[in-house]
Amino acid sequence: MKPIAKRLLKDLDGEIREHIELAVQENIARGMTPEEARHAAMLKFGNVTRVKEDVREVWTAVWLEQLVQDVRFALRGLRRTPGFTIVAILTLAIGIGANTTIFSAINALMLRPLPYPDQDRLVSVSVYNSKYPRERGSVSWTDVAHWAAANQVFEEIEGISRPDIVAMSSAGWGERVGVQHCNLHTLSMLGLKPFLGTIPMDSRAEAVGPPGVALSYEFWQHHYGGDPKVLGQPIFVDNYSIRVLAVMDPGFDLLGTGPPDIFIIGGNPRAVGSGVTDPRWIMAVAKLKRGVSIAQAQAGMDIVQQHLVQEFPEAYKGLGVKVEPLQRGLFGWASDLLYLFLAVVGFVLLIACVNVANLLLVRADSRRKEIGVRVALGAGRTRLIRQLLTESLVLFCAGGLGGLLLSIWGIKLFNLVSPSWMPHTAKTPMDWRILLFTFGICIVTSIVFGLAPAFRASKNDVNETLRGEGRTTGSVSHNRVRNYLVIAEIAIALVLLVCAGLMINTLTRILRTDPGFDGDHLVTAQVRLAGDKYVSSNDPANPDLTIIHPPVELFCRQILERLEALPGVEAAAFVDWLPLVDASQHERPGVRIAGQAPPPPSGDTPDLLVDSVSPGYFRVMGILVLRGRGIDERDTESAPWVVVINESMARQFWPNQDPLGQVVSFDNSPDERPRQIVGIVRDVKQFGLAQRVTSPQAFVAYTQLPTRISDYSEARVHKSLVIRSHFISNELLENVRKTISELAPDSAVFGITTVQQTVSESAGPWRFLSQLLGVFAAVALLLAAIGIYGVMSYSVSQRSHEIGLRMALGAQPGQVLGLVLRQAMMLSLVGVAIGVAASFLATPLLSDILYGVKSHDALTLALVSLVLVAVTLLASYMPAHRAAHIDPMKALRHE
Amino acid sequence: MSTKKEKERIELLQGTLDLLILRTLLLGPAHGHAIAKAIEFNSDDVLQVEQGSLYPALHRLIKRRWISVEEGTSENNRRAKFYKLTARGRKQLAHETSKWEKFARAIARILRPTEERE
Repeated sequence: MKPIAKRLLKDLDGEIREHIELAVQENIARGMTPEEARHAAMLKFGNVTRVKEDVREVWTAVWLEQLVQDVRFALRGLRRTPGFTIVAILTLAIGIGANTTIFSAINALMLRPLPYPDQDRLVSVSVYNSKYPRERGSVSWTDVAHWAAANQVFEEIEGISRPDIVAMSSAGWGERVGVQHCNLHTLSMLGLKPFLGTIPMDSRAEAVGPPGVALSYEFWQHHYGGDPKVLGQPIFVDNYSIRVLAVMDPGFDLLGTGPPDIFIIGGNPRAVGSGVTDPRWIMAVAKLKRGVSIAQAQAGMDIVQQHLVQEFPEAYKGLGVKVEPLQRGLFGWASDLLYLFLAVVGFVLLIACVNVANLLLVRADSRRKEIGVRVALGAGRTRLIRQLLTESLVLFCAGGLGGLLLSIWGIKLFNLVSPSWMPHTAKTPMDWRILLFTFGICIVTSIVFGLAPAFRASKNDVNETLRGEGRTTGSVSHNRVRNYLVIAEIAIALVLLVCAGLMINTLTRILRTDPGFDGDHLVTAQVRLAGDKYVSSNDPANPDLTIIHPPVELFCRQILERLEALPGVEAAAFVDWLPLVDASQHERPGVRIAGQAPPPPSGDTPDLLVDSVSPGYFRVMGILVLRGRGIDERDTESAPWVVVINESMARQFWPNQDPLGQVVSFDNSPDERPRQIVGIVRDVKQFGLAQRVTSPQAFVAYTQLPTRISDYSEARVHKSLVIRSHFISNELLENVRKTISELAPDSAVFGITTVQQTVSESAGPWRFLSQLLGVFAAVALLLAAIGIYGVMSYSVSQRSHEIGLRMALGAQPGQVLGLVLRQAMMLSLVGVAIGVAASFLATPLLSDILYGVKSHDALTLALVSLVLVAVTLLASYMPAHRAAHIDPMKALRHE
Repeated sequence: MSTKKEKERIELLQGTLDLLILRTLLLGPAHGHAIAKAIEFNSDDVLQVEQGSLYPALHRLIKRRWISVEEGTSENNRRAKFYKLTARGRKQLAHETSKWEKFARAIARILRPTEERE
């Protein structure tokens, strides 16, 4: 106790003693005996303790002191019941820790300000299809140029591409590096300065090819050892040679998925008014003029967009434009997912709190006598409630501290299971928002879940409790509350289990999907040929054309011979892009069918993808040739050019005709020749196992390709090798790498793995979701089981007298067992019924990400319900067993 | 345990008790027991105050700075606390008294309307 309060209290004590003393003396003077006098004086004064308590409440200083005292008292009380305390704190720590973990991810992405100066003026500008106004689409360089020319609301608007992969080489080495393309001013608008060198701000440079690249600090350190002489050096990127202009400051990571290795600066279309749109695959970032709000910017851009729709209906019809804070534009999609998780862990916390509320109720019952004594000694009701509330506050805060500790591991774990496309959230340090959130939860939950038990405990009839000789028969309403709590737990756990079950169901179905090829015993490797030996774009006569040089074809021929000569290799083949590999950039030429008018452009059908393959590709990959033949050795440069199509292309282009024998021509090169369709192959899942619509695809022989192409696509220098072997070993993988590197030392070799692995990785997002939901549902189930066990144990101990009586009257242990289990069964059935009803409301929210299973899948619901009933019975078995073995003599003597 | 009814009685008493204390102290500083006795005596023992409840009231008045405390010596020749009216307390007493009188008149009119009609 604080010294001041102590002195005040001593004074008060003395004063009261003096008062009574004076009264006693007076009474004696009136002729009473000293005993009578003291008795009368005391009676007249009233309850001394109560008076002192009341006086202390008057003192302002006392409030805090009481808090400290309450906290101490609470700590003492909690220490006296370590079992209760540990279970309650652990339960809360799990529930709160899960919430803190997910919240810190949300904090890292959405709440913490972006690390750019003027970040409050930075906005993202995206487009949306007016049919799906909630979805955000990428924009094109032309869009950015149009908007930059016409808007009145932005100081600047610039483009920056999504992360992309390019081949990069300089003397003697080749590599595959991550890249982001951006405009000259993009980086400076974000407030980023070069660490070394300068980025020219002269906009004239933008017209004639990319002026240069900037290396990220991390890439510079890693690959150039921090050598400043790198500035000005030429490197070869994809199909052109380019100079290093600058090294960027460390740590720039716009998308949160790790900084790209290099930035290719400038050289993007700035064609205003052409009406031609290049592909939409970049992001637009803009800086608002001072004093312009987001709503004003949105209004301004709406007008700009309306003009564009009128001027270039083909490119802009049905496209809206959306201005939103940069943070929302960058991470909004990820935070939607995180909020879903937050809802899930919120339910877990709810179960944890219900458990603790249950424990508090039980504790309140067992403390009736203690509280009764304190009331008799003059404790006021508000004071009691405050004390009990302090106790639950201390308990919940201890749980919150535990939760914070758990969340340190939780955050690591979350990032471990997060797929690579999820922005990193682990590096963000703990900050005040996280602390506020955690302790906010503690305070709110401790009041919400501690108030009812505190009220109940303080509503206490002194006489009855003290006379009751500690026979605690919690009232009927008391038991009813506990039963409701158990039912709620079961219902919540059921909803979470159903969600997790649906996700796991989806995952297994996806993994069992037939991808259209046979991935067994297949090794794959990706090769990117880099350097002007293979590809160049400097034909002075035709600057728009990219020229593919003969060494590409030479490599293709030789690599197959060499791979097939490796021990253990049965066959080898290649294709431009292997199915299910990320970041593929297919050639997507326009197509004309001989004897038919070109089809009207329609935005709804997927693009045609063209792959070049080696003879035997379909055989090695196990892709079925349905009609005609595949590409084979006959298809040389001088033979008539042919093409093999997939089922989807046949269906889409020739719905009522036989495609075999038809002649088509592609428009991506002046050297293309008409090709006859010689075969139809089965569809494969190119972009993902859960893909519902397959793209039309065409396959041509690598020997029948034009050397000049009008749209550069890296497909021509990218080869995905597939190697069939029954003895896949690390040695084989290493041999494959060596063989390729020896043949093309300046090429980038990567992605050496088994095809099965690739298939399994493509189920990553669903694996992530099922793992997270699975973990949370398991925790919920565990907590619910603990709660059921606690309530049933307590209920048995309360009824021990009744059960003893029954047994004395001849009830068999089996009947008693049945009695308790029936009670548990009733609770679980009601809980399951409510839970099933609730999951009918909840699961449709998941229907977008489910595959092959309906959101109200009967089997999942039935299984999960069974699991919950089983767990309830299991958790009640021990208490029931205990009840069945009550010694009637003891139970009755206890009376 | 304080029931609701009891609480109402204390609250009703509170303002009254404050007023009575102030009124008593108008005559000069006094210690707790003396104040209690004076109140009982002056009200012809009608207001039977549970003497203990005086103390929370005294401390409340100190907090509002209507009275102050000084050390003194009791009839027993022991050190005791003497409570004294402050200037603020004096003003408050005048204000409260007139309020009370108005209130009492109003109550009287309601309870004894015939007398008023004379």
